[in-house]
Amino acid sequence: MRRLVTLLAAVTLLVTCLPAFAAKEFDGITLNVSSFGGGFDEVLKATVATPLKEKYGLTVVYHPGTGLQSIAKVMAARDQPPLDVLMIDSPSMPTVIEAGIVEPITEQDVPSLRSLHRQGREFGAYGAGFCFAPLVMSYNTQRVKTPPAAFADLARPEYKGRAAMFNLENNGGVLTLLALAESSGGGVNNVAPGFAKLREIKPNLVSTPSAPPALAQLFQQGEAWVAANWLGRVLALQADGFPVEVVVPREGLYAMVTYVNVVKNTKVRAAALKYVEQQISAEASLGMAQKFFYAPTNASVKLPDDLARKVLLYGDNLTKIKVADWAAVAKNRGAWIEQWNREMGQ
Amino acid sequence: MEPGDGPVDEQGAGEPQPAETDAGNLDGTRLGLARQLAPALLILLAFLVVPLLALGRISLLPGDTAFGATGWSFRQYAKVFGDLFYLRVLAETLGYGLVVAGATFVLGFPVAHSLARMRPSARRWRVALIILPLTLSLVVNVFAWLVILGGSGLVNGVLLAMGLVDAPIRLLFNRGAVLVVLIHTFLPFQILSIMSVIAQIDPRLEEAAANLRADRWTIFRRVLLPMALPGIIAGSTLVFILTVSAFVTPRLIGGGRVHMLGSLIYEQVAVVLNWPFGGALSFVLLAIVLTLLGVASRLAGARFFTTRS
Repeated sequence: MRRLVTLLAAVTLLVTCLPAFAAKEFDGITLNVSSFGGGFDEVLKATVATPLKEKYGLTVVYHPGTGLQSIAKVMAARDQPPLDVLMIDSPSMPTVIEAGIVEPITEQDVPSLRSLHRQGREFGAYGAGFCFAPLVMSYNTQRVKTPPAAFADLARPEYKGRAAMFNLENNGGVLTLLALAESSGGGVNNVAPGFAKLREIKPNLVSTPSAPPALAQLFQQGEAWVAANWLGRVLALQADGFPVEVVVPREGLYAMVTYVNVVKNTKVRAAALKYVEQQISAEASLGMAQKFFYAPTNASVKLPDDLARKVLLYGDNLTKIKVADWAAVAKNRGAWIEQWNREMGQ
Repeated sequence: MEPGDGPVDEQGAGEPQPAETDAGNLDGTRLGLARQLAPALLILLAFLVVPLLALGRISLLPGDTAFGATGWSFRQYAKVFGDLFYLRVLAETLGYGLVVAGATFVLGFPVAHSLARMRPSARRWRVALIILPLTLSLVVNVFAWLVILGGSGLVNGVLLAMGLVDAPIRLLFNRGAVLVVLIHTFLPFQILSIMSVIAQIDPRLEEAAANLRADRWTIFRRVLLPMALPGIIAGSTLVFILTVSAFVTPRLIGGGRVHMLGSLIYEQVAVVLNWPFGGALSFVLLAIVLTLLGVASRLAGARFFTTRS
């Protein structure tokens, strides 16, 4: 009996030590990455973390939370950051660049950056955008006789009491306001024309939620028939069998990019750069497109035709992308919200 | 041995005692009390008083951000009081507080009274039924109301079936809907606090009044109301405070049209990240609530003792 135990112990020891003999580049190294949780993380694990483990022996640990929470974690311990890679959306990028908690990433560090659309690198050398999602117009195909063609069409009298859009707490609301402003002669530093348009839209609005599920509920309950909404959310409604259709708005495709950043003072910089490389790879991009219809920022990714039609930001449509000046948005947002509260209340 | 040194209980209760002894015993109980209260007080100090002081400091910063900011200024408070918009939201918020407190009193008093007069065994599961909604998350509660009041919801379904309306009517996203949901959410607090006071009122007092030919309205007005007043004031104060600090309900049910101070504070702190202004709004709300609380407790105390004597 004792002999058997000894033998078992020896075999176990041998088996656990085996990978060590294969000595991969990042064996025994753990990389802490912020993420958004849920299905998003599942795709990341399958298309980023698992390949990195197989190829380089790198262990990736995801820390789900909102972008702001992740930023706060790093800010609280700049010298010993608890995260090595920071995953955040465009609107938060100016904050982390200004705070100096992320490093620039060059094409020498991450060769695949060369394949990125310019829209996937809105902030110069900072951050690598790995997917983007546009704001679109959507309408209930059973209720609406004449489909909307633009964000400004929310003001059409026939949609009275049946229109919806995000408020300015959601980045979708910010992009709607920007689209309205820019299409009527304004811009990020002059949103007055946008607010003028909002005053026309106001009597039509049933509600202006800040959370995507609340906007989806308005559609499902028949309270709202037309809305400016995130493409992925509209397609999710469609997948549930709801009669809703996507319209590419005349104002253009205003999009938000999701970025990965290498955190300053990370102890595992080389591993973090490898992570960025894998995150913008075709493998990961395809995963995001298939699961969430987020378009790849990597120009070398080939999507099947049906998927390409769904993600919108692909092929010819890329020329319709409008790039927002997120640094200016961050500066002005407080004032916009204040004006919104004054003008859009009862 | 001095008279005051022995334990209190062993002294003759009826014997007159020197004044110093009284004081000495009082100090003893105070010390014991302090020891018992110390853990709770420490927690309050660390997690309520200190953060409040920090927030107070932040609200006195001159700029739009708290990160790395320095200096002292009353600018944020000047903005709150110098702007008609914020004053209007403040007035509206306090108004909601009064309406909800009043409505929960009107709706809750009969329920509280009938519960208080029940046998404990019959009361038990009914009270559980009243407490049950409180175990739900507020967000779940609010989403349930979105379903009930929605265009294809329960209320519209009933109205349509009864032929009272031809097409679904818009019940959500206005002041009325916000008030209905707030009243429903906070009703249990009012019922429980009134019930606990009425349970202590001797039912024979009501019978005696009835015997003297008082009708039910008179009994309510002259017997129940004065004696239950402390409970009513406690319950109403609680509901008032909960209402004026509400922010989930107005945000989701109000459809972005109904502003309450709580939602503006949330927005400043969590979205705009303008903590100085959010802090100032919070302190204005806190000061008003504390003042009203002081007035209410004085009122309750005064009335309570005058009806007793």
